[in-house]
Amino acid sequence: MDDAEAQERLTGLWVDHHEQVTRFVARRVAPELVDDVVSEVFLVAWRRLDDVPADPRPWLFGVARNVLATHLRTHGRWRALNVRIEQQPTLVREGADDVAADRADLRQAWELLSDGDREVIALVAWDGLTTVEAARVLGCRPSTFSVRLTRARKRLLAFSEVPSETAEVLQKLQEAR
Amino acid sequence: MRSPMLDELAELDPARELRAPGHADDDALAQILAQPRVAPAGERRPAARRPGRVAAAASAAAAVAVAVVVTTVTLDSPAAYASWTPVPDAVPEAEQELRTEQCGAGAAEIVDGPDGPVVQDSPVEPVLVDVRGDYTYVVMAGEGAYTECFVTAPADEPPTVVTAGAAGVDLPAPDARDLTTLQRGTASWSEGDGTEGALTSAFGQAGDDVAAVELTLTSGERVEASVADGWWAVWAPGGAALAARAEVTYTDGTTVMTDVMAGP
Repeated sequence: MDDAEAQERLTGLWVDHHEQVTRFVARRVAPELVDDVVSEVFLVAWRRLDDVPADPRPWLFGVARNVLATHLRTHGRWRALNVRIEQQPTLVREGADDVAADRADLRQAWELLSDGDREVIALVAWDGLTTVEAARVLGCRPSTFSVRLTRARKRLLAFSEVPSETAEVLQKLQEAR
Repeated sequence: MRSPMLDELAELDPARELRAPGHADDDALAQILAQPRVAPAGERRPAARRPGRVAAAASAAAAVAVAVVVTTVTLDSPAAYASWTPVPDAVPEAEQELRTEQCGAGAAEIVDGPDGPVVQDSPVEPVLVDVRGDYTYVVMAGEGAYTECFVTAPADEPPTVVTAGAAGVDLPAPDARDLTTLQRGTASWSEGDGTEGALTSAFGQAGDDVAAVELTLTSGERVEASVADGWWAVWAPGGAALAARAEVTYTDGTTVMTDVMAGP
């Protein structure tokens, strides 16, 4: 690939995927770090253009995940990416109390999930990936990802049915670990 | 694969309203395209960050070999880096070890794996400890790898640790009267909510004949770098706080002015 072809290829990746990569990163890192991480992702792409597959999105997300993991590494101990949940209360339509209650339960359940479960669910629910694509991001087999997703969903469902008081105790226990 | 519960969860997506379309004329893209497609050794991480869009300086990131660790930031001091001193403190070795034990022992490198890029660690160990008040700036190095580590340890509070580094780089030893600069500039990880704001740092290797390195702040104040075991390092509060020129004093007492902020 000559220089002109390389520039055209990266520009295409940037135009087609910048927003998706930015969202992927924004879900997982503090806002002030997003731009730097996204730039690093595309710089890796620039230097490895020959490796970028025909379907680049999972590959870019995989690079982003590694760049993020590098950023979040703590004392040589790897942590699963802590996918953030929206912090602001969701606007609820008038008369939609049941919806609001469901969402509160879901938010509470999400907080009780492990980082690993959150990441698996977020790849599908937020990043919009298929099982095959999400497996490529995590570097595992699709069948393995499916099992992890099924288990994570079961835990999310179970946690969403936990009474609030119990959930608070569980959350404090988690925070104390 | 999707379920009503996952659809409901989509409502809690923190980025669902985020719009960040990429355009062919984006400055950040131009910065990346201006980079060589093969990473040069000793490349600097992003320098000062500008808000809103991708940092222009981010294109200088050693994207194939960088690491930044950000642990809980607990600082809330109105006077940023209040205990910083222009001359490094003399600290006993035992306390140096205590201050550096939070810095880890590895520099991360992104390499190819069978299923895509993976991160590998390269071992590093402290080669220089620069103490100024409550702040400890540590340079760590290993085979083709280095990190810089910044530890804030106010009395009776847990330490805050930030590190950045590179692996898979060449670290040629300088000649006896030379300095190399491996990293320099405003550290992007020192900015943002909950920190004391920007700081400017520089470090590199020093030849055997180098006895001291003194720089000047853009405010005019003189700052003495730490020099130890073939390495030198300095940092100061504020963005772009260090002037490029430094006075190097050799073991024979002679001095020379050199540009240490220009990089390798």
